[in-house]
Amino acid sequence: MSMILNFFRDAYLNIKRNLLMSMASVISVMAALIIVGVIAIIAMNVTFIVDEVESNLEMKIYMADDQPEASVEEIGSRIQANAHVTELAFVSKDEALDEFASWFGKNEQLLQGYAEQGNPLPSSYVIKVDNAENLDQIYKEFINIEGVEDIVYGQEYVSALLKFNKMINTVSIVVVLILSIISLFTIYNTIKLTVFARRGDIDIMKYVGAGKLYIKMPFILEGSMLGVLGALVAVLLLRNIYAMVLGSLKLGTVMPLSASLAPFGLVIGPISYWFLLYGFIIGAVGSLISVSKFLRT
Amino acid sequence: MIKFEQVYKQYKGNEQCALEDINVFIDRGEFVFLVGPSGAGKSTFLNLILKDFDPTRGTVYVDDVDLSTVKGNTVQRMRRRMGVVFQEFKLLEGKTVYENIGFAMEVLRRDKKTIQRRVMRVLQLVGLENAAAKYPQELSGGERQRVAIARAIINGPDILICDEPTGNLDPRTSLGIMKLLENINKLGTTIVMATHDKPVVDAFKKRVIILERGHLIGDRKGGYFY
Ligand SMILES: Nc1ncnc2c1ncn2[C@@H]1O[C@H](COP(=O)(O)OP(=O)(O)OP(=O)(O)O)[C@@H](O)[C@H]1O
Ligand SMILES: [Mg+2]
Repeated sequence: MSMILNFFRDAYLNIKRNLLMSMASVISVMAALIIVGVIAIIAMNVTFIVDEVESNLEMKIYMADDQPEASVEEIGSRIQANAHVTELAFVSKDEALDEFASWFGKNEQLLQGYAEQGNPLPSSYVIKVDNAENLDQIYKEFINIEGVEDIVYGQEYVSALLKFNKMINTVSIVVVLILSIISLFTIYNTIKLTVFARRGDIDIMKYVGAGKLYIKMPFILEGSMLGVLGALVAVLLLRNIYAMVLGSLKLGTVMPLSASLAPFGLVIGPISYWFLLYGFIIGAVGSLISVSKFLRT
Repeated sequence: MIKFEQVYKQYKGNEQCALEDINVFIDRGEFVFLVGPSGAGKSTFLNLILKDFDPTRGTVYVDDVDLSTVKGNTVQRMRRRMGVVFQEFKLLEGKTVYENIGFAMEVLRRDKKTIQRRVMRVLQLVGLENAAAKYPQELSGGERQRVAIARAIINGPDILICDEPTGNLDPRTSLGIMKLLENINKLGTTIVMATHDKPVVDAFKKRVIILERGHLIGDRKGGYFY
């Protein structure tokens, strides 16, 4: 127990001794995470909107008119059997006509002609799917089936949205990678200074036969403290920024635009969690590389 | 105890070998001076015993174990059987004398009681029983070196490696340190000591190994400085 306390005390003393470089490390992690955070917030919002749109996205599968009811039902059960289909509703010819009619309201006489000639509207299955990416596959599976007349969904709209979502995700991965390397490098150099300043101590520990982990621990601790500290500042700033963005959108407009943005908790929760973990790992890995390089033997 | 067999050591980027074809046997309980001009390879010789690195060619044995075959945790276990003393003392500035010495036992996870008992005893042995609570900055050079020696022997090493332990000390203080080392040797610890200190070597009449530009050019029992 006292050994662990000693590790923490040493790490704290080292940070104090290397205040300037330590601050540079913290700021580097912080800056990296703020940039990553802004991109992550945009990406999360895009994903949120895509999800929102997706869960409301309907696909209409129109039945051919000239088939027995049993065959329509059979197609229905086949659709139901598809793993991606989350909701399924049948709209009969009559219901389709009623719905069509309701759009015209009082001008029912316009429809009289139809009633006399026989209902021209096809029956259909209206389905919802788990993920917009699967719409295309479902389309391909059912379009060629005997008895299916046509399948309609917002093809162009969906594919544009998916493309945008993918692009944002790719950009954020690239940015995260680049900034991680920069932060890692800064922490690596900070810890290198500490290692250099304490090379005498390291020599002594080495020669009295201290285990490698025992020697490395204070440095790893110091690095991860710096990383976590940077992450903490970044998280606090991002919290305030996002709260401000949501707040100003709510106040400024009659129809609250923020209603379509991802809610505060949904965004800041995972960001806090992942960023602190990220800061810890970047700090630990950066310092581990640094001290290991010095402690070859 | 320690055996060098056709040992060569060449540092990266150096054309000249720091040690060339060294063959030496040092027996248990011996006290050996390692002398020679600056750059002769004395520190390199000691570093090989400590397994700071392996020889470029040849073999270094400690207790019949080829050091180049020692890997991982066994390196640490090997080093725990050796103590090291340097010219520049290498004490931890923020720690008291007591902590500096106890530290070498703490690292081995010894319990507080044992540490206390052993530290007090070893402080007595080096003649610093009243300095336990002092910080290195409050001590003279000779006293600091005594602390370093206390730390080096606290775990009861079989071998004590000293790299110019009197290099920063005046002749009288050096004499005191040498008497201390001689006592430690008499208690059974093998000592290998690199030094420039001609008066010391001449006064103590131990085995002298002479290095020059990486070559072993002399090895005399009860010898004098070259
Ligand atoms: N880490 C190193 N990298 C490259 N060359 C080195 C290194 N250490 C020592 N040398 C070279 O190896 C040779 C022997 O050095 P060593 O330190 O063993 O000499 P020494 O006898 O201890 O000298 P001194 O009396 O000055 O301490 C020298 O030429 C030195 O420049
Ligand atoms: Mg030397």
